[in-house]
Formats: sequence, C-alpha cells, structure tokens
Amino acid sequence: MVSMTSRANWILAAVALPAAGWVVVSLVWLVTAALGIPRAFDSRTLTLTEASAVASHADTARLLGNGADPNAASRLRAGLVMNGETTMTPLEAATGAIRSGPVQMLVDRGARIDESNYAVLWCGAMARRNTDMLRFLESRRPERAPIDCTKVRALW
Amino acid sequence: MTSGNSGADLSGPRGPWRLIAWIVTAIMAATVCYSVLRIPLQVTDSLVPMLDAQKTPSVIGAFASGARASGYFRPLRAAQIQALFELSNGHYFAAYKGFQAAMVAVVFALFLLVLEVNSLHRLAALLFALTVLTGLHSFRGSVWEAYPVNHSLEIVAFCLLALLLARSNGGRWSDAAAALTFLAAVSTVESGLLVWVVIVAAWLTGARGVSRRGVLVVTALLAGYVALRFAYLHTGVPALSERSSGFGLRQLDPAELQRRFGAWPYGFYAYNVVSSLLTVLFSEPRAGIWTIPAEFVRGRVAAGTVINVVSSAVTTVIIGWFVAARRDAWRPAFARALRRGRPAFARALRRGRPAFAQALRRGRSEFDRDDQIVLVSCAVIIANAVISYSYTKDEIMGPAGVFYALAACVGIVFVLRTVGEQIDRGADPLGPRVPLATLALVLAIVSAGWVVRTAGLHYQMNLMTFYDRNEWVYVDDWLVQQKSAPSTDAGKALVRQLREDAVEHAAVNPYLLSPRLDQWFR
Repeated sequence: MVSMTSRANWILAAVALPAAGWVVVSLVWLVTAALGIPRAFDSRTLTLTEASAVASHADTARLLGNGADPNAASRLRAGLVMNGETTMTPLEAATGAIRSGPVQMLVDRGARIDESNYAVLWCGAMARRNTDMLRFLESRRPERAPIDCTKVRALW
Repeated sequence: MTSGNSGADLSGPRGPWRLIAWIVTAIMAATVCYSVLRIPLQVTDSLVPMLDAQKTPSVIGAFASGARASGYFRPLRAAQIQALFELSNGHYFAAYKGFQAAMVAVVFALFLLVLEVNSLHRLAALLFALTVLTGLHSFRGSVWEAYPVNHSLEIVAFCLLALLLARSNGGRWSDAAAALTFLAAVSTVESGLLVWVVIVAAWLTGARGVSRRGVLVVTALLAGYVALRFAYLHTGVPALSERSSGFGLRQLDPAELQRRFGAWPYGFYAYNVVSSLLTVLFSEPRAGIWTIPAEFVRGRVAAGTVINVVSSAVTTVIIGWFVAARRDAWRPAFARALRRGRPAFARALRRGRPAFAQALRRGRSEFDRDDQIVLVSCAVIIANAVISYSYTKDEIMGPAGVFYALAACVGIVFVLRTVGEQIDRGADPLGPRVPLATLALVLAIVSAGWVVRTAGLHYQMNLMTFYDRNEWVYVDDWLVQQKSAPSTDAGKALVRQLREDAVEHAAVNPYLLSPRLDQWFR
C-alpha cells in the first residue's frame, strides 16, 4: 500500500477536486430542476415579443397557437436585447434578433407592416444591422414610407 | 485474472470507495439523462424511420428490411425502432427517449464496472475519467441524437460489455454472451465490429474470460458477417457521394468530394483515419476540420477550443507516460529472454509445444487489469479510426472516446501511484528542477478543463433542444423537400402529434443564458 503523505494529497486533490465540484453542482442542478427552479430560464415564460426577439420559432408558434395577439406590445425582459426591461411589439423585437426570427410566421398570423410602423421597424433593423430583417422589410416597403431614422422612434 | 505491478492494487477499504463511486457515477449519469430527456425527438434522422415503422407490419418485417438496405446492414436497429414504436402505445417520446436514457445509464454503469474502483486513488481517477467521458466531443455526438434509437450509445455499451466479459471468470456462458454481444452489435450498426476488436485485444493481453474457443467463435462470426454482407446481400459500403465530410479548414459537400477524390479516394480515406485518431487524442481536428487554424483565419480562436486541445493533449501525455513506463513489462517473456541473451526461449523451443505455450503464458502474465484496459483502449481507438475511413464525424468516434476515458483513468491512477511512491522514498517525482506544485497545478488545470468541457456537453445539448424544437415548426415543409410527406391520415396524425410534443416541450432558451458561453463551450 502506498501511504498518503500531505504532498501526495496535493496531487490527489488537484485531480479530484474540480470533478468533485462538478458532481456537487450536478446534484444541486438536478434537485433545483426537479423543483422547477429557476423558472425564468424556462422558455414557457417567454412573451410573444421575447420569443420573437430570441428567434424562437417554436415558442412563437406555441404562443400564436394559444391565441397570442401578434400586434400587441408586451414585455421584453432585461438582458435579452437591451440591458433594461421594455415593452414593444413582436415585430419590433424581431428587428433586434441576432438570427432570422419568425417574422414570416408573425405576418402570416396577422402582424401588420404598414405606414404606421414601417419606419420604426426599418430603423430598428438598421440600428441592429439585422440584414435578414432589412431584406424582409424591403420586400414589403409601402410606397411613401419615410426612412429618415433621425425622425422616428428609436427602438434600440 | 492475473495481477501485475502497474499499480492497480492500491489497497484500502473497498466498500466506501465503491459505494461513493456508484453515487458519483449515478449523479453524472442522471445529469446526462436529464439533458437527453429535454431534447425532443429530432426531425432529421428520427421522423422518417418512425413513419416507416408505422407502415411496417411487424418487427420481423423491419428486421428483414434493415438487412437489405443499400450500403448498410442494420437489421437489429430497424427491429428495435419497430419494437419500440409498437410498444409505445402512442407515447413515442417516452418510449424512444426512455430507451435512450436507459442506454446512458447502462453505459455509465459498465464504465464503472470496468474500472473496478476499490481505493481512494481509483476513486479520484474515476472522477477525472467521468469528466473525460462526458467532456470529450465524441461523447456529445454519441449521446444526444435519437435516430430515434441511439445506436451509437448501444455500440459503446456492447464494447464495454465485451470487455467486462473478457475480464470475467469465464465459462461457457461467458463465451456464449460474447458471441451474442458481437452478433447484436454488428446487426445494429457497422461499428459493432469493434466488439470483435475488444474481445481479441483483451485475449491477446491475457484476459481469459472469453476462452480461446470463444474468440474463435466470434472470429468465425466476423467472417460470416463479412461473407453475408458482401458476398450474399451485396450491401456494399457507403459511397463517397453520400454525405458531406470535413477536409482541411472546411466542410466539403458530396459533389465536391466526388470531384476532388472520386478518381482516387484513398488519400481522402487516409486523411479521415488520421483525423479520427487525432480527434480523440488531441481534440483536433473536429469532424475533419482543423478548428484552431480555421478560427484563427476568422480572426479569433475561441477559449473553448484552446481548453479542448490543452486538456486532451495533457491527458494523452499522461496515458503515454503510463504506456512508456509499462512497455518493458508488456514484452512477452520469451522476447525478453531473447533480448537478454538468455537461453530460455531456445530451451522452450527445444522442449516442444507445451513449453513454448508456457513461455507464451508467462509473457501474458505480465498484463494486469490496468494494462489490459489501456491496451484494449489503444486497439479500439485505432480500429475505430480505421473503420471510419469513409467520412469523419465526431459521433462515429464515440466508442474510441469512451475507451480513451478508461485509459485516462488508468493513467491518472499511475500518476498518483508513481508520485506517492517517489515521495515515500524521499525523492522528487519529477526531478529536482520541477517542484511538485507544478505537477499539481497542471493536473488541476487539466481536470478543471475537463469539467468545463463537461458543462459544455449540457450547454450544447441545450442548444440542440432549441434547434430541434424550431425544426418541428417547419416539419411539413421539410417532409415535402425530402419527398417523405405522409399520405395517410395515420401518418399525418403521427407528424402532428410529434410536432405538438416538441413545441410544447419545456426548454431553456439559450438566449436566456449568457451569450459568452458559446465561446467557452465548443
């Protein structure tokens, strides 16, 4: 048998402690998951605006299927696109998405793009350099839509 | 089983260490199961086989159809998909995902049984090895997909079972179980051939749980498999133009593969074998693509990529240290006798076959259980790379990755023993110039690196959950593209049910987590 001197224990601790720490974290994770904590990470807590902002096509489809209004402004929680919490419509939030959001789905289900909101959406997408959204908006541009971004409500 | 001197038998009370080992293994397995159960059955690779199962009248019919598929011989896989479909009684997610989670549990249990944790050192090494097991990218590829039956995990389980049988007390039942394991593995997917590699490599290193007769039977079954597949069923091998594959710094699509390598594919095959080998040992390249130069060209090498390469490289060095230290002991006794100029080998030859066999036995007696684990692991890693010649993918190196984790455990036990012995003797384990704290620091960094990679497994599986749920939203379009849209009401109802299951499924949206995590978990 090899005796365990204190110096040898360093080596043993170096090998085992990080992994042992992970086992403890895993146990805590499993227990908290079983208790439904933290609920804020659950995608079922998303509003339609948030689902649109994070390009969650599945949650958008689920919320629309459950009767959510595609034109209604709702909460966009802090940290998703901006540091602070705000309120906006799903299409407005989609201009801030990093990747292609469920914009077509929103429009198919009744989200309006017209002269009243076109400039805000266009300038929001410009501010976020959201090329997918810009391409989408370009194909639906109303005839007299203003695109002077200094004169419209800034989203971001 | 023979007992050698590589340091496996660090004594101590067995009970507590074994119990603790089972507890930590169960916790690690449970977290993997948890992540697996959050991923919906994916659209690609799962839906069409399930629609096929709906149209197939019986398990036997599915078995026969799986044996005749062009390019593949996977009758047991088809039969399993069919059996679970019929047994599910409409609860498809529960049936397929429950089976997948059960396979995860089986793999972890077999992994622990192979390592035989009976001391504090082995427990520490097990903790390290479990993070290697779960942190290695090949495991991620093996564990997350359902297909809808995860054959990659099954092959891992079959290989570990074969090693356990080879190291058991033996007997007829052990031989029969080895033969059945081989048959089940090769009937599931082609990489099941690795079971033969495990059995033969274990026998060559002195594990006699599967007898010589058992090894011959399994070898005969291998010959039968080859004859059945190529001479009778003419299933052939996958074509070069069948799928994309990584090469150099990017992915090549089938058309480009055909254009570049169609005339002479052997260079490409050699690249794939070497890439597959290196990806297990050094985490580079990934699926045939050299990520560090590729990321460098794009402007930034991710921290996660560096962690992957460093943790793998140091772990491989530790395994190499063990191999170098044990190399002499592995040389057969008669070869050592010849090298030293002793007449033992000549005497053995003069005395005839029994003495020669005895000399061979003496040679094998130098392999203890940890030697066997490392040598079988080396054989599996090499063989896995060789049979992956046609294309590179992280998941097809799954068995090699698991055996790499076994070898890592042995390597760590060796380091702990060697350092402990040297300190006991009052010597500096790494010589006078390198303080022990340096070794401790390196090991702590590497161990922490594997923990980060293990956390990355769960992060990546969470991403898969997000992508898979999104895919289900557009499943009808996908089915039309694949020319697989169901024409029957039952088929349409099945797609509708699976879609609802996936979309309603609870998931952690990756955007709710820090965007920086993507840089760390590669």
